[in-house]
Amino acid sequence: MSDAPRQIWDDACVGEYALGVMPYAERLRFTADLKNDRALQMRLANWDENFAPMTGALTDLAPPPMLLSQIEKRLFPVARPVSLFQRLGFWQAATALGFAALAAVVIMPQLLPAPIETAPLVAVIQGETIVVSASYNSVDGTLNVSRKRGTEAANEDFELWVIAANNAPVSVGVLQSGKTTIIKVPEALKAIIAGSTLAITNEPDGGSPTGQPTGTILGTGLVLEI
Amino acid sequence: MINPVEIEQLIARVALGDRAAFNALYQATSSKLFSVTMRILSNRSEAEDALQEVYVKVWNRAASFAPNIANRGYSPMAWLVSIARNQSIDLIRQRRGGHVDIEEAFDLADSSALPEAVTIQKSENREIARCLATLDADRANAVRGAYLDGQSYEELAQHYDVPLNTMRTWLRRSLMKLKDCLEARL
Repeated sequence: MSDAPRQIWDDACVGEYALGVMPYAERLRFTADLKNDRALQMRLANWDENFAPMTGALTDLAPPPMLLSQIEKRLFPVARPVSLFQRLGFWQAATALGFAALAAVVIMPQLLPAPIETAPLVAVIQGETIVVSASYNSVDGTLNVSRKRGTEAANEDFELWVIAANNAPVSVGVLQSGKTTIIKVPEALKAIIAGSTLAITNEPDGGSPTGQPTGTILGTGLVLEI
Repeated sequence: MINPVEIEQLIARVALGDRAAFNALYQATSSKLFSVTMRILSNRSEAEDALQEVYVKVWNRAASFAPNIANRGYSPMAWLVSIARNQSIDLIRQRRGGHVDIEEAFDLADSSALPEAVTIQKSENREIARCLATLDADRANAVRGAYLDGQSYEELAQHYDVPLNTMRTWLRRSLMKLKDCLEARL
């Protein structure tokens, strides 16, 4: 016996966890085991799913009206103008890979003889399997999208979406299979791109058939001025 | 009343960072989830704090969850309820450190007396109700007390006036019977 014995969670244990009666120390161990154990997650989902109808016995209770705005304030703090250094400090804390991708887009626009009146917009769209950087040129209205990591499956396309506060995602187009895609941003999106979130999903060849995302969200990134 | 497909669509949009969808999801589901946290925590300000945490988690976890709700074995509402319950249970267990003083246990026991059980039987309308009905009334009520009120083994043992270990043996047996019954529907 070289490995520390790992606890076997029988069905009654999983039920005890779902019910909430599992003693606290055991509960913490179970929670830790859940993280990397897909089969255990599924067994728990099964109990949760079966138990959930019991909440039909509860009478709905409206939370106080200000609670939503408190939650929103926490999740979406009002964007304040911050210096580039502060932003870099924040991003430095992100993954090294993300930072490398960011550095590429931060440096690149500065090398170009860009007009000075408008601040360039950049985003790093990141997820487990992709890293894509994007920089927006407000003068010619193009988005330069550069793939650092990630490849679509044979019958799929990566589709890029703009999500502005309080709006449904709007497609900007699908990425070409090569490294770089230049996308002409539709007129309606130009005004909302600053401060929005960019997201990439995988979609059937040619893009989402519905006009709304149908695939997996592979990564997201905030559009920031630099 | 919003249907499960609509909730699922809202969660999928929340996963993409759509704030309007988050707002709509909150409007559609917060009364339900607040009833869950309030019932377990029996304290308004704690229940409100817990609800905040729940929706922060919903926002943060939607991306990993939304693309494959079905693959994970959850219906959207059961997913939301499980987040609300786990948040409340973790809080209450932490607060009490597994130890409950006797007066508190009695208060909670009183609050889940019989009239409640009648309401429950009226509104449980799925397999779980059918299967709970196959258990002795006491044992079915222990399952409900644990699930709805967040009662611990200590509290249940107090309520049913049995030793802690006996309570655990009871409940684990009840769970296995429930599982057999729930699987028998297939």
